[in-house]
Amino acid sequence: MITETAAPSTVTWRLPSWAQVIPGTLLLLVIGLAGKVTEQSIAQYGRTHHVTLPNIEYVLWAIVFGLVVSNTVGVPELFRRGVDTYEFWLKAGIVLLGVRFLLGDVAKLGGVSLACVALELAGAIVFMTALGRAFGLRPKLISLLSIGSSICGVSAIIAAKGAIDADDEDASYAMAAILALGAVSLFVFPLIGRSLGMSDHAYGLWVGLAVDNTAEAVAAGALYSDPAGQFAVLAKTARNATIGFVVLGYAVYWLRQQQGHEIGNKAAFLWQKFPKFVLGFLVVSALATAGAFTRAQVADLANLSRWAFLLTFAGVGLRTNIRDLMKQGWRPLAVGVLGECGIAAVTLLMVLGAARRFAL
Amino acid sequence: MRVSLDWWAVVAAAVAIILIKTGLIAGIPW
Repeated sequence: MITETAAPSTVTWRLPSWAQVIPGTLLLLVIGLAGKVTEQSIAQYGRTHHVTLPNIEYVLWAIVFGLVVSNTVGVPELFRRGVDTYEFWLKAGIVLLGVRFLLGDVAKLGGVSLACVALELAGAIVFMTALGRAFGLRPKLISLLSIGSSICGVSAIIAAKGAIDADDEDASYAMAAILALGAVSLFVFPLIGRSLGMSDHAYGLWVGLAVDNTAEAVAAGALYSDPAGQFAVLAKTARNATIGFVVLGYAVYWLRQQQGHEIGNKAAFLWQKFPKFVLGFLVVSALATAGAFTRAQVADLANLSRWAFLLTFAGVGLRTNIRDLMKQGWRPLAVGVLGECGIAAVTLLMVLGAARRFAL
Repeated sequence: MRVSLDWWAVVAAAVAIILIKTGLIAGIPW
């Protein structure tokens, strides 16, 4: 994980367990709010002075402010437990976001996105494995990079690390590469999308397929537009849902190499690795489809998911340590960069083709 | 039994939905 080595805590151990998350969560809120206020202030300045300014959304400001804090003054130990809750806010936000997706829409995206997801999964695994071997990386690091780039970044790498009994060092390398590229994608993907004049649907699908970590995929989508962010979540969710199967496949492979954990019950293993928040997203989406919510309730739940994402994006910036990324060495990063660029290019062509064929 | 982060996120979202559905919380701004 990309966090600084912590000195033994002298403060947090005095707080009760539940209270240890409060300082960091407040820090997420402050940084997220600073991003929101910055976005609104720039827009207000443009309106007042009749100048056209680029609409840089709170998403990017929150990440940038978080990056500045974590790479200058650092995140004190007192705040770390709370900052680590960013993943909780991400998952809760995605569940709540289900209220904005009627199952009809999910099904509509489903046919195209499932085909794209299947192609992306298979292609990414084959491509990353070939690249890793060409650069002489360790076999388990190749497995982790393949899993991270084909499914869902850090979560998949963490799940796979336990399943194939990989070293901490390999997991850190793989996560560093995925996170570094995720951060770059926040800046590059919207530019490419706009230069190609991609629709919200096509751009969101591309982001959901090509950006590996869920938080960055949601952010890169939201940076383009609100609907693009929703399509990115849908496509990314479809990828995330395959995590159990792919990790199981790798676990069985490494078991055969007699280097991994024994898997007793494959169904139980699949359920254990399956991202449960995806189920929550589908249930909420089903409720919304059944008309369980009034328009005002839908607006409230959607706004609540935006607040959850605001905390998430601040956390993405705060937990990224640029110095740690630089220390990881060039070869895993080279494989990551080449692999991700290749995957981004191929998925872009795939989505552009699908957009023309299916009028996305 | 240790409850995973995924389930905590689902439970938190469910609580929020119940609070909004029953009208105990309304008019959340953005």
